[in-house]
Amino acid sequence: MPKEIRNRTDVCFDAFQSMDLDGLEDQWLLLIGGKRVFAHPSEEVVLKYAREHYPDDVPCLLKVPFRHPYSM
Amino acid sequence: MVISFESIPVKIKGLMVHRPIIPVHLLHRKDRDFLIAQSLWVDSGADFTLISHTIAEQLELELSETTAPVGSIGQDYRVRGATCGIILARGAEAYRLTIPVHVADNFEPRYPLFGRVGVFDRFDVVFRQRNGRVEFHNKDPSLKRINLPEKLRPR
Repeated sequence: MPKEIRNRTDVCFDAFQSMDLDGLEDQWLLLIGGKRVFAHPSEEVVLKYAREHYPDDVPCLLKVPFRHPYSM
Repeated sequence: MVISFESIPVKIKGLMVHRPIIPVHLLHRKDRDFLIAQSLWVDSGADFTLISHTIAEQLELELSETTAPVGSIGQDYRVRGATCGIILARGAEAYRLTIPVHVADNFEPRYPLFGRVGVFDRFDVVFRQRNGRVEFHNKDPSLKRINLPEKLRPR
């Protein structure tokens, strides 16, 4: 097992579910310790940010679901 | 043993739609200390799990030399094949498995997908739409539960 996985996905996921995601549709969020620390539409940019700012943590990338443009 | 996730509610003009989006740990091909946690959309209509080229690159996955069209989308969108180690975990329940994945070659997936091959043949996947949940029932006797160490807890 990896030795330093402190940013457990399901904990971040629980935090993600209780967040106000309005205005963040289609964006990737970076969560560290259950807290949102960065958001951007590009997965690559978010990963790069994670590597630069949180090199010792597992990057937890959660994408905010989009809304269908043709919805009622 | 069952791993159960709450679906993600999306409000679309007053209508609440629950999407089966779940967190998955994607493991590096060689470096056991390196992994990325990502949200994947459980898609019973997708043969294969689909991830972006960016993520595959980070995980240093070994990609197939040739590309193939994505069946349901058409000839313009192509993927490469690879295998990827994953950890599916919820609370104390955790499983490590290796699954075949498709890596988007010339497009950015709108959402990464968790497809059937390698997953639905090991778990009975139940979509409880009324309860806003998706469950993974382990049906593969060879798939052993792993223990996640305490240090997996967030700081």
